[in-house]
Amino acid sequence: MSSNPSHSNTVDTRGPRFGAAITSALLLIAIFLTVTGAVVAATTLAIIIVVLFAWGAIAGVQNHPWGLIFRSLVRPRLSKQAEFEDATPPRFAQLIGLIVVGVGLLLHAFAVPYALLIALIAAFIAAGLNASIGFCLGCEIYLLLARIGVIKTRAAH
Amino acid sequence: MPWEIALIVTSALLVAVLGLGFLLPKYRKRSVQGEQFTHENTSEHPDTALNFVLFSSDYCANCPAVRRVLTELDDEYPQISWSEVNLSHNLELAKHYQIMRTPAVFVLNSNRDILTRFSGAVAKSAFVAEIQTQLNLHPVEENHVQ
Repeated sequence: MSSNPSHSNTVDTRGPRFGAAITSALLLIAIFLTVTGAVVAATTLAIIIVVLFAWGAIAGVQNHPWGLIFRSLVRPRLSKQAEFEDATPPRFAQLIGLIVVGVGLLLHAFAVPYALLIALIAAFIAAGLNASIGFCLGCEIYLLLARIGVIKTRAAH
Repeated sequence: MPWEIALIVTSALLVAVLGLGFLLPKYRKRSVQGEQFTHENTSEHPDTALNFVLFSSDYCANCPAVRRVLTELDDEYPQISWSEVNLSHNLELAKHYQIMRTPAVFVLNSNRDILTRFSGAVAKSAFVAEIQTQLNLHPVEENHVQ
């Protein structure tokens, strides 16, 4: 995602939605593989998805592979008008995705039935809503936690 | 499960999520009666028929879009003005007016009565409809600059 030069921790609001679209597609494929019984392929893809979520949570959405693709290939082809948002909530959303799919994988490793499928579906719903209508569930969770004081924000300091 | 059935199931899931996104309201609108906006907002313009007060916050993804729309409307409709309050620095205000999410927009008349409350990513057409509705109640004629 391209950053506003005047604000180093901001991203083009279209960037996270682009990333969510790709993530949704990967999650849908993983769901399909899980449902068809291709357990090894589904687990492998789920691990890749977890790694990607971890990448976003640690390095930030600006430095995520989808963010780099958006910045270099997609954004130059979009209209110049763009709003910028703080990158912190989308980054937190990546952490939420990491936790959801990660827990699903962990439970799957312990042979808990349908754990991976449920986790993938939950993550797909969140990513799909972000991609389709820009509703970022993870971002809303971040704002809720900030509002009740669990997360300290810049405004609280 | 056969791959054909799996394909149908995943397609149904995709349609369901897209449908959910289609059905979820992008914004909410509520008409208000008998409530005044008493916060001392120094950037308000008391001489305009309508004043839009935008409540934003530090991590508000949709606030820039609403800000842009209000700026455009300010240019198009001389009878309106708009101002902004950052709730990140006014938590008491958010509690007092029970503003649960941002962006939120209050539409005030010249007496600072709250006419309508919007919350969420409000489309420009909704604000235009609001302006046209509210201005018809006033003796001032519409002067929409094309």
